Amino acid sequence: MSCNPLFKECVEKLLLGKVICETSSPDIFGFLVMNGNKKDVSDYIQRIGLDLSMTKDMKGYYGSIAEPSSGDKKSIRSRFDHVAKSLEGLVLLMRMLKSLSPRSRPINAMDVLKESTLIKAIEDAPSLEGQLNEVTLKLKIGKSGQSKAKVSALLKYLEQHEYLAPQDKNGLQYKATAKWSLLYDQLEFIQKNESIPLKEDTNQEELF
Amino acid sequence: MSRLDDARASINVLSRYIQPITDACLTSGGQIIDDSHNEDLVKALLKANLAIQFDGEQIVQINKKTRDLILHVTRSYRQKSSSGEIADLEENLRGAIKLYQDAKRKSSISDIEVYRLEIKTGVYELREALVDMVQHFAFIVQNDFSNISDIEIKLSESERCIKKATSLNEVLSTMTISEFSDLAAGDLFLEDMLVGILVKAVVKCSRDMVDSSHRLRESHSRLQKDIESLHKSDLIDALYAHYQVNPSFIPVLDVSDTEENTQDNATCFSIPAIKIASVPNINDEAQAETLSELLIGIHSESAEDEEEELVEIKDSTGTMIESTIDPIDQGAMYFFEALTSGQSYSAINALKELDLKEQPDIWLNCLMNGYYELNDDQKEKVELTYIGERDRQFNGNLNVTDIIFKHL
Repeated sequence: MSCNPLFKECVEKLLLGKVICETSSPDIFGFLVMNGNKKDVSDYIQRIGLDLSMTKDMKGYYGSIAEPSSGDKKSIRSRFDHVAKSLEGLVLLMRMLKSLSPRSRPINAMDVLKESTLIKAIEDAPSLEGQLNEVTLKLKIGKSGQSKAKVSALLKYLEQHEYLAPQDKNGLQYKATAKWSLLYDQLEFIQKNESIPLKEDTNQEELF
Repeated sequence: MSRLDDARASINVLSRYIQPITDACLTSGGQIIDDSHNEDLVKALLKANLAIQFDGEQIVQINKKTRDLILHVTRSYRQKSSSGEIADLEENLRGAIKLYQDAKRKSSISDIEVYRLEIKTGVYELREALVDMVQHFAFIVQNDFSNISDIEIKLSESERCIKKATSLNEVLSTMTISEFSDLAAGDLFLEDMLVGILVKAVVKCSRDMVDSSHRLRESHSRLQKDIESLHKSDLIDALYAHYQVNPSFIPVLDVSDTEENTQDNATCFSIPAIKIASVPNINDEAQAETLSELLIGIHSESAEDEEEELVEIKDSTGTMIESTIDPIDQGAMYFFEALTSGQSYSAINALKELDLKEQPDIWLNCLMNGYYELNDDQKEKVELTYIGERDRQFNGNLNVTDIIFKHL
């Protein structure tokens, strides 16, 4: 039987816990959304107890453990703890990026981030500089100095953690991956699990 | 009373009370309060069959036909025909066409004229209903639900409009030239009515509806994105606010619930991280060629990278190298092995006992090294007492001559 390199790469990424999207792996994403391929991949990984899952905004695919064993539970816990530890920094970062957007729109997969735009916006608004300092501190990016250096370090951090994919060789322009979509799903899980009220819930309570 | 008299009476009522009837239709959905002030109006409307009296209520409702007439003639708002109404009008038209063809076959001239008129009216009514409905959708698209403030209600309304537009498109798709040509069956009057007037209108309406449907879907998808963004934004704000109030907050996942949660919504954390590794099967001849090529590749790469001096390699397989332990280390090992619970030994006495030919200070150093290599638990169980003399002039130094090791 001949080996399909895209199928192989796709399965490998899913096993490694990567998020497949149009930004991070356009070829594999294109392969996956083509007729029949999704089912083939899903059937294949199901035989080793994994499901092909999709982020709620339908922008990314990832592998998930169908029926976790006690060993799997430990790894789930460890992944959760990993997110939980960096959660505050990520929430602060998302809030800062929302403030930077012209319509206060939260960051989404496929959004383009330019280093120069971020630096200019932060230099123009002292409140954003404070937010940037808080973000770098909480995410332990540990870059002292001017905003420019901090923004560069932050973008590198996000690239390293696969939230951003560089769009040019100089690393001045980035595109958001569907790892943000997964993060939103994780935030929603935490919000529900910890019963943290949303604005709409608060409004409902006020009505009563 | 004849039908003509009924018609005259109704028109008279409308004419006499045109002001309150128009006001009621345009401002209160056709409702009139049945009180002494409106006594004559209510009586006249009910008598002329232009309104309905609700049981036990002091309200009289002007009927739909009358309301539609007022709304139609005032053009104050576009009448919203439904695809169902259009299908009904089409069904009536088909019925009239069938009876017209029957009348023609029987050469009943007067009946032919009756059905010609009915067909003509039916075609114009259907055309008008189609135009009204298409214009209604065009208005919705242009307006973009600006009269609704809540984004989720906007989305529901947009879904409802898409459903209505789909139904209308389905009705329009059945009104084809071939369908109406077959229905006309070569009759010039029917050809003129159905193909010349109706199909022409249907073609134009279909084109407009394609555009409206497309824009409705665009608007729907934009609304969905807006709702998604709003939800994400709310999530960020909620967690940010939570951290402001609880700065030490760290979320916790109850692992015992994980299985249940995984099937529900903890999927986003149940992500595998499987290490992928493979080794070649050296017994498989099929892989031998590939492995040889890889090996040659590695050799040539390393040869290109650096020029290494060739070293003769001797086969040392099977050669045994014997190593010996220094007697002083061996002595220290015995010393710590002998130091069991409750025992206490002098280092200098042990040196003599073990008959080691070593200087006392080297032996003491060796034992101290051995002590520091013990793990923390073992170290805690050993008490050291230093024996020695201080310098005559106090400088904090103690010249150790012996150490007592006591196992607690």
